[in-house]
Amino acid sequence: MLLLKFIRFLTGYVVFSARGGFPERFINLCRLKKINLWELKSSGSVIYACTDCREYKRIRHCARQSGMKIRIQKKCGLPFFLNRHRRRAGVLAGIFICVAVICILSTRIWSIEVTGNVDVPSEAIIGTFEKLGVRKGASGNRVDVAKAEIEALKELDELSWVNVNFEGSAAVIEVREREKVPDESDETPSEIVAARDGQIIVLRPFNGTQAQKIGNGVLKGDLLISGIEENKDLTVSFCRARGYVVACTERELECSVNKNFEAERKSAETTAYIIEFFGFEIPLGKTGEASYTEKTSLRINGVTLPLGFTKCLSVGKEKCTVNLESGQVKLLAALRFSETCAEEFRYLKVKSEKVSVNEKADGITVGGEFVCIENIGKEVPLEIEETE
Amino acid sequence: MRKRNCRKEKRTESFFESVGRSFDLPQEALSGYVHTEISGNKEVLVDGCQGVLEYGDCAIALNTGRLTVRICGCELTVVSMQNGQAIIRGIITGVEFCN
Repeated sequence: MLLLKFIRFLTGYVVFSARGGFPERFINLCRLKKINLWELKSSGSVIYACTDCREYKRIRHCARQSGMKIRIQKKCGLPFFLNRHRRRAGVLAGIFICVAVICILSTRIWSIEVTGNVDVPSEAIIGTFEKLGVRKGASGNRVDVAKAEIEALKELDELSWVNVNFEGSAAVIEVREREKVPDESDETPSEIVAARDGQIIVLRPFNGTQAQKIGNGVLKGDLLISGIEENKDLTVSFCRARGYVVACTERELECSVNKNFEAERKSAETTAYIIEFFGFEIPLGKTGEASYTEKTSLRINGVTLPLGFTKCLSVGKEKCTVNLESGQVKLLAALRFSETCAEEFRYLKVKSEKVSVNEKADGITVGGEFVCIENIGKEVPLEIEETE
Repeated sequence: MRKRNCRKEKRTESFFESVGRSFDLPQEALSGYVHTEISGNKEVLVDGCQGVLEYGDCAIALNTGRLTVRICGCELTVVSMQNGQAIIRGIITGVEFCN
């Protein structure tokens, strides 16, 4: 019914009234002459009906025969609309441009999304596909998707599978990353030595010969697990030493902050915008070298539109001398010391610590002595000299 | 003479009806009856309409050959009348069949 209404709108139709005479005869005559009437209503002695604009001329004869007087009530449909606005060139041009824009834009790629990636950044994947033709504004029909997929796989070694799907005007790139398999085949002879001074607490050799005992004190570079294995027939064979050696070590950290120091101060902040449409960038104002950029794409009902803008923030810096008060220096020193500790002790356990604060005339020094438990084993290749 | 014709017509009617019934065919397929569909009290579809006998605010009478179908109600609208099929919409209060 909706389709029928749409077709009637496209072809145009007339709503007319007929009064006087014999409505039954009028309807029967129209039926005999195969004039299509619909929405036939009676109101008192007047009937209202709709018919096609071409057939309205033929209706007059039927009305005359049945003694009815007909009058047009309303002209509906596209032909009448266009005729009414034929002198308004702007409206017609607007309609034409609107239709043309819809036709053109519907075939273009509006946005590119990447799914399934964990380690490989989306920007790298999109950048590779843009080189291969899958970019914003490109015609979706002209893109050789199969070729682009193969070429992208060649360029991006980290990916094991890639597929490009078009969902409306959005190109969705589905990827699967290659699983990293540890290289077990490398059996180059090596040994494990101490990376730091310490006292061994745990010693677990998986491969190779144990060179130290639990409780031994070792210096940096001392052999912990040897890559030389002695066979039963007193010959030796070389292997890759594996295992871990946990030792109790000592570390010292120090952090100094001066009361007066040179720093950079934010002077002026300028914001500029760039409008992006199908990959074309239209800068609004001077963008220069932006220290911070933020891209935003317009989204309506979850659909990314090809229109967006980039906010470029440029921050000017000037050198200045900072003079801190005693409390501020302490706070800054504590902050820097805690940051250094967090970075240093990320992969080890601190058994005990002793922190000291030393105030001077020009600043403050925070120092700490730590007893840690850590893996001190470090694999180094075994140097073998062949002798005749 | 007229009586004989009537009898003859009755006999042919019963013959087509009996054939239709024995083959489980719809009654209107062979006997020439009108096919009428009524949807609630809102719409009536009459298939086999041959013309309009009465057209007014409260009643529309349709000629279907052997029968006259009279649809009574208010706000009656003939939505379409094409290929012998008439669809009448409105608030229908009654459908009468007359010979």
